[in-house]
Amino acid sequence: MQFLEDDHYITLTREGDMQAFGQLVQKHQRLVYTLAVRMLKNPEEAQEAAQDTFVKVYQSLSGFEGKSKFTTWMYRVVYNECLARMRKTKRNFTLIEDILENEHDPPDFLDGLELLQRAERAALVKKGIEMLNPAEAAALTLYYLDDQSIKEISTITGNSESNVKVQLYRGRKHLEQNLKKITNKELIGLL
Amino acid sequence: MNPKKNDPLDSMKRWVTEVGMDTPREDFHLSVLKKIETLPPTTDSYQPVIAPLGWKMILVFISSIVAWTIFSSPDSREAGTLLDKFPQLKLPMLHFDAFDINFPTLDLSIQFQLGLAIFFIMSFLVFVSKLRDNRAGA
Repeated sequence: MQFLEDDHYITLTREGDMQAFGQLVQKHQRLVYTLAVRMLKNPEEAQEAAQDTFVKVYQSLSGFEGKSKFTTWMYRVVYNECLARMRKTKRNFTLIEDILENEHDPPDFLDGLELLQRAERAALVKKGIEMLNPAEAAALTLYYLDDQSIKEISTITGNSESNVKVQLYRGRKHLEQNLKKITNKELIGLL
Repeated sequence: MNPKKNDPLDSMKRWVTEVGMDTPREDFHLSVLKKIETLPPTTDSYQPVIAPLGWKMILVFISSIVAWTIFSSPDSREAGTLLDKFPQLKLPMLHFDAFDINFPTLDLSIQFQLGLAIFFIMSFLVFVSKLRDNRAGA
């Protein structure tokens, strides 16, 4: 499905065109939902969080001044929505374990990953992302999947740019470690 | 030399991109629109905190204070106030001698009286605005 620029739908929605808002939702629903799933780790709750995000976006659309990109603003809403849900259920946001152990381990193992079939590798990486903590999963998703800049991620998450860089660095390291753990387990299962 | 080995960041981007995005239920956007339809209607019309009548009353109040200040202040150290130049009104005294009742007389300064007047006027304004809010909420 081909979509137009966000501004087009925003203008029409402000004039009361609900169909236009429906199209705006369809345009962004996958990334908003992905971000919610990776933070909340629960598809059902992520679905609700993503829906509530769009409802909030609709309610606040008249106040959107366009100072930042629409997507940056929308991701900020979904990020905060997920944080609020996590606070309600008192889920931990940070990892307690030492994340920098085995820092220099992965290169050979990463080459092994390259040899896997694309579908197999994608399934493994998805599992690895699911094991990340919410902040790192969100930072990696926004940075790699939606090409958001460090500055934009900083605006979305409310963290400083240096914090975002640390989250990205840790996220990468963690993902590598998670992938190693997963592949080891699967290999043991095969033997 | 393997270029992939030297650029783990690119590999990471490729892997995350390969995973792609998750897809919500097919009727996701319809559910969002349904949720929006069930929202209670919001009143977007602007309602000023102080009503036009309130502003008029405030204006009258401030004007009366200015006028009172002008009339009650002497134009020089020896002169009396402008009010003193008006003919004195002589009101008949009330006599309650028959009942032998003596009312206490309060000697309040002009500042205290002014403070009391302001207090009552402000209370009146709060009372009126409360009444208006109650009517609007009903």
